[in-house]
Amino acid sequence: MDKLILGGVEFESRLLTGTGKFSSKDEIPKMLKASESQIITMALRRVNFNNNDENILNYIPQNITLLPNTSGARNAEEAIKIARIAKAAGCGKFIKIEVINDMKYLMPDNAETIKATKVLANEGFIVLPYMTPDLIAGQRLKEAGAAAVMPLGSPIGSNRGIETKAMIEIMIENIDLPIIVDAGIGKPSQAAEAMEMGAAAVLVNTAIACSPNPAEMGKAFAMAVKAGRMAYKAKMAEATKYANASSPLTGFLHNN
Amino acid sequence: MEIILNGEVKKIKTENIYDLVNFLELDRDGVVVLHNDEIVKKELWKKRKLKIKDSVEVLYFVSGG
Repeated sequence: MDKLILGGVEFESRLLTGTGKFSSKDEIPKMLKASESQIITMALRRVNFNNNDENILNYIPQNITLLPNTSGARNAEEAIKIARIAKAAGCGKFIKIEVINDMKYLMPDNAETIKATKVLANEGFIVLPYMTPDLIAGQRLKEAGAAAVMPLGSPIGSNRGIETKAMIEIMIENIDLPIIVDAGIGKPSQAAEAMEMGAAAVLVNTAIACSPNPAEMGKAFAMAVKAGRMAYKAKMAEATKYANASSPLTGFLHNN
Repeated sequence: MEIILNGEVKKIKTENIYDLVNFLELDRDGVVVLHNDEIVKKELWKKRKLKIKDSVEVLYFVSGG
């Protein structure tokens, strides 16, 4: 059937979610159940001995695939280090590479991301790199062994939607890997838009986590993702400048 | 003795990683330990001796997108 395949692993759901920004971590398992998301992100940090926040893994059911990210990494070397630590911690083979130096827009550094991808893919990781949309960088990521490419729709957490649409469309058309739109998707209609474009999946965190009702919002996103995917598979009619009548105009009242 | 624990100087009485993690009252299953920048597997915590000025990083998973 129409499954999402990442590094040889099959998933029913095309909605990836994140654990960031929930007002209460108890909302996370509820959201996962309602949204049927099978992959969720988390980050690695130093333990704060004065205020020991609970381990996020305690809130994620066993059947969910963990996607640790390398947030905090400013170059390939740091991303590689974080990935290896995450693997040693028993997080599995999946890793979301995130290398960021730009603190204003949090734009990922594609060159460093490609370097990290190459090293980690060689070590057997299933690498999902978060990147600034660019065809050539996407092709380089494929060559480096990425399992998918994750271009941003707009800056992280901005809820601005798919402002990079034209670039992502070119990537979908020309890169033979799943393209997952990550970051910037602020509402279900934008997730549907990504899927209609032919994205293999979307990663949504802020828009779900910051809703007063994350479980409901997760479900809404799941429905939008399914609708968008279905429309893409069914092939949408082309847009035209002028009207094309849906009902017959010829008839008995006029002769032209 | 003094070690560098998560970037800060800390006086400890424990001699290995296992005892340190217990002393800090950390959830053993939930943390990853780096000793002088090297990942130490949980099975080796008891064997891994600490020396003065050693660096120990204790990490865990937190929320993130």
